[in-house]
Amino acid sequence: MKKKILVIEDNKDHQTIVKSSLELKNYSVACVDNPSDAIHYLLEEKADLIILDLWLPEMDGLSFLKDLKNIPEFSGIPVIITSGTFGNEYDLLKLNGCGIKEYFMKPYDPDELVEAVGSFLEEERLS
Amino acid sequence: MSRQKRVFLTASAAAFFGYLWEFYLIHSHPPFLFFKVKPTWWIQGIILFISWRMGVFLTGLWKFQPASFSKKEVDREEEVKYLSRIYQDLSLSLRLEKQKFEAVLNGAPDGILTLDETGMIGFWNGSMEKLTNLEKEDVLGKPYGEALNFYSGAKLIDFLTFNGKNTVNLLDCKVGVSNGKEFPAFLSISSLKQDDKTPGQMIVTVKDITAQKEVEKLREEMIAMITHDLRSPLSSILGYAGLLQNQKLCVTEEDRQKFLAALIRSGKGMLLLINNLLETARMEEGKILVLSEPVKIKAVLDEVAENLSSLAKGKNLVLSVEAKDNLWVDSDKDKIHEIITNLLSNAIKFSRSGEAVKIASFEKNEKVNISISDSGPGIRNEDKELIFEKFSKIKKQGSTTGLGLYIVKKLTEKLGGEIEVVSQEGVGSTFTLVLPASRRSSASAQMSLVGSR
Repeated sequence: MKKKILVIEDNKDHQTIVKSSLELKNYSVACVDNPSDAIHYLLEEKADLIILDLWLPEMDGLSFLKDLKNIPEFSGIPVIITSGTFGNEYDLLKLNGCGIKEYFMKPYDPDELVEAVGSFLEEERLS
Repeated sequence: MSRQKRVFLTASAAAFFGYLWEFYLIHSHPPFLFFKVKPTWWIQGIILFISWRMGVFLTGLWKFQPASFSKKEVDREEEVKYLSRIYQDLSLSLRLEKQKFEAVLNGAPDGILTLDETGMIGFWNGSMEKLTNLEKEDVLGKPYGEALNFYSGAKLIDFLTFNGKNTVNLLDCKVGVSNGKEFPAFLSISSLKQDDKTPGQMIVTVKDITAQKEVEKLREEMIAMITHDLRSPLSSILGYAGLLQNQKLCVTEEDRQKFLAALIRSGKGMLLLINNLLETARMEEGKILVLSEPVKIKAVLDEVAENLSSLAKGKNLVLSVEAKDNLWVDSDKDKIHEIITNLLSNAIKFSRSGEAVKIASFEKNEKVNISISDSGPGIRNEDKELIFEKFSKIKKQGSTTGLGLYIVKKLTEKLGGEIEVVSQEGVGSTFTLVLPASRRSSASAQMSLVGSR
């Protein structure tokens, strides 16, 4: 069965790129452009991994992440962060506080992202 | 007795006695006579004159004899008086100097306090009162720890003793006041003693750097925003290029075209942002030249629409331009081009797929109106003032550097025009650029009116 990956990203181009790269590796990819759609999607269909872009519209990506981690159902889903910027080291600290280990600064190599997704899902499977 | 009177009297007396002496010499002791002639009236006159001068000379000698010679008591008294007057003058000027010094210290823009060897506060200036909201009377003579807490990891005294320096600067030190107030500060601590081991009196200057910190924060945010907005299209460009290059990905011809269009779109977006950044920098330096030449509105609108058509196409937007051939303004073509480009790219950015973006132009009350309307999410009332500010980033509108509308506003001001915003949340926004119409435009409009009659 294909692994489901949810991409939360407001930039359509980035959605296309990430989606195309991941579908190449036989993942099922769903893209949403805002956090509320993301919650709707998660409630209806389970996702195995989330790729989250910070600086989302409607809600700051970080606070969405915190909300996500507070919901027991979703707190176990591994999250990969992508962003154009990380402001400063405080933001990084906050990310670490949310249990984020992997993040990709734009522009990143989509192949590396796909690799990271693979290793995360592998870890999930083993544990 | 005045000096002149005394001299006069002594001189007269000396002259008188001199005359007597000379008279006596001449008449009683002929052997001593200098001149073997009978004294005539003019010899007597010369002798009298010489005697008078001698008298004056002798009086002078007597006058300037040392104080110890005579009138000893009186002079000492005068001396004491004189000394005490000097002392009074000195102490007065010292007091004035001290007052002046304290006034300067009190009026200094930075907080200044002095501490004695044991850390007690000895001086607390006006700026310190303002900074901390603690009155001078409440803190003087108390240990500084009761009033202030410098989150510096060590006591102030230790800084000087450990470092063995006379002055230590703490560039960024958080200062906590006993009443709960906190502010970041630049501290400069100086010791008045030369000895390395034992600290003497200390002078502490406290400079409030809250404003600088805010500017710093703003700059950081600005840089973060710019990097985000530059990285984002760059990421798209690299991503699409990677997809096109990937042999394993079976890209259909349709997809290929789509990716290429997106590549170009991202490149153009980046170009617009860089142009905006440059324009902002130029504006800040005041280096903006505005031309005044006849500009055909239709030509500018068509050009902008053509430039941004790929952006609109990428989002499946219906872009329409409505402009008459006879609409002219006397203005700067490039600046109008820039304003419309920014307004239109915003409209495209905030429109959802399939929606319509309209550009319309018309003349009203001898003004040329160019309006750009979208059916996007609209602007909240509370945000309407903020959108024209530099680096304004209004939530919900996604990632924008917030330069576009700032530039639109500034350029419009330069052109002597106005920008009007009509927007309703959930319905859409219309931005209208209002410029004074050129005479040519009005004339042709009138002619067409005449012709239509």
